[in-house]
Amino acid sequence: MKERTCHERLDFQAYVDQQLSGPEQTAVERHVRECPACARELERTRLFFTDLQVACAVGRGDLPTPAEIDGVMARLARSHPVPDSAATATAPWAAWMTGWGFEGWRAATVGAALGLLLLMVWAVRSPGPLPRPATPPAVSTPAPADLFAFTLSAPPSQALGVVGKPGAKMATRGHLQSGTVYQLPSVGKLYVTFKGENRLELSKQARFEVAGTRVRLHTGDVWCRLQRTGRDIVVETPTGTVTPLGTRFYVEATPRATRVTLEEGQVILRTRTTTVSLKRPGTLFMLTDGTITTEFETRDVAVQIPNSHLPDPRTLERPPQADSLQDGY
Amino acid sequence: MSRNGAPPDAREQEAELIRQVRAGRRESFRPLVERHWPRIKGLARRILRGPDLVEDICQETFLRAFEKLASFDNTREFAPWLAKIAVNLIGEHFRKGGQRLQLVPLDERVFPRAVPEPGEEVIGRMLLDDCLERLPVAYRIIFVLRHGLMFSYEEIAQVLDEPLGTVKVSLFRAREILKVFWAAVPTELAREGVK
Repeated sequence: MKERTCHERLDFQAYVDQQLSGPEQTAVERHVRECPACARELERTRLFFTDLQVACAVGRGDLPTPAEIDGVMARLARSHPVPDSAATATAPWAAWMTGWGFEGWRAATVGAALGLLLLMVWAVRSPGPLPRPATPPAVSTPAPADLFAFTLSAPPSQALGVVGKPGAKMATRGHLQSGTVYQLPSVGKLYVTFKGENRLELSKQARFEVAGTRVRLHTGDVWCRLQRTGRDIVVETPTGTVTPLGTRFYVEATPRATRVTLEEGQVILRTRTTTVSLKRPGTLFMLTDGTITTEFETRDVAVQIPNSHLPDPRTLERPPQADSLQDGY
Repeated sequence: MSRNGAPPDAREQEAELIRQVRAGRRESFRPLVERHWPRIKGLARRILRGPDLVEDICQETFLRAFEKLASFDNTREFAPWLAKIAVNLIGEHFRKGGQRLQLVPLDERVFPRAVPEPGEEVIGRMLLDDCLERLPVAYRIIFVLRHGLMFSYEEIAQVLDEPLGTVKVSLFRAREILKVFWAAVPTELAREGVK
């Protein structure tokens, strides 16, 4: 399908892949504003990259199970037992004892006696309980079962942002805090688990927050695969809410509409005027005027270009092929 | 800890964990495995066939990483270093079968008649997955590294031991070929009114 008639040689791949310098980027943007053929080509390239990213993305099937992690650690323990030298390495106190002429069992006895003496002195002087041993710095906090835990899949230069705190840079893993509005980076996906077994994937630069069991999706999209324990999750968008009843579904929020694609199970869509139960796989749109419809022609594309420049709407409207993430075998 | 007393970011956490493992705290390796397992598995399962083989390569990658951790330069990114181990293991697997990981020049013939013609029951993304499957192994790795694991071109060159220019040109050419197939199908289906 060679539609391009413009003879300008622009590297759209490099543009979309963010490999161009500032002036080169500006040149591309200036040209596509004037040239419908190149604007279409740029949009196609952008869609192609999106599809490539989905086709290659780290998917929910790649998340490790505790058994897999334990398997690695068990193999490590077998193949690399703690060396004896580590246990019997000469500690500074042992060297000090040797210096005083105490070795072997004598050193141990003297050490124990000194330790006991110090403990008694401390107990007499201190009315409080015994101090807890200092814990090593926590690298990952244990996950309470009812929190949303997340893992960001993005280039090292990208981070999950907090709206209203421009400098804030979140770690790639952690837990979502209730009431904080998060912003996904321009490239990357956020994998979220709820109660351990319910999976959500946020992408398209999603801006969202969690509140209790509610996920407020301001913009962007979220793909949900819920088990029985995840049925209390409700996805809210600017145009309505989606309540699952044990299910697999996809929600995309844009300023003008919310698209809900059901793959399995059942969801209830609710706007300020309408409530619809979607019981079969399919797509519905919740619009800003409260209507719920099967037809919606989106104009919310990544680059604002004149409508006449857009490629075939079906190309833009293609629903996500979430199953393509499921297995690579 | 971070230099300015702020909460340590992911990279500094990782560096700290690596220091702890080197100091003999084996259990500190667990968070590293948890953090990097999805990426290594994501890479392996797009290249290798069979969940057992994928699991083996993942486990072997982390075992080898543990053994070689002393040689890791802690000022650099851990993920590309780990990916390089995984790619070497995948390469060893293919070498046993007489194949080599090489960025051979591609042309459209890489997708012979096996790719369905537009109009058959195929939709765009399935076709793209199918096309990726048919690419030579080195190309599949490069696509996953770039579009799945989001590595930079420099990191990909480092992982594959290829010159940066070769990586860029190969990726560009392969994308152009894939795009032709990707672009053709949805439009044809739309014209025919196929849902």
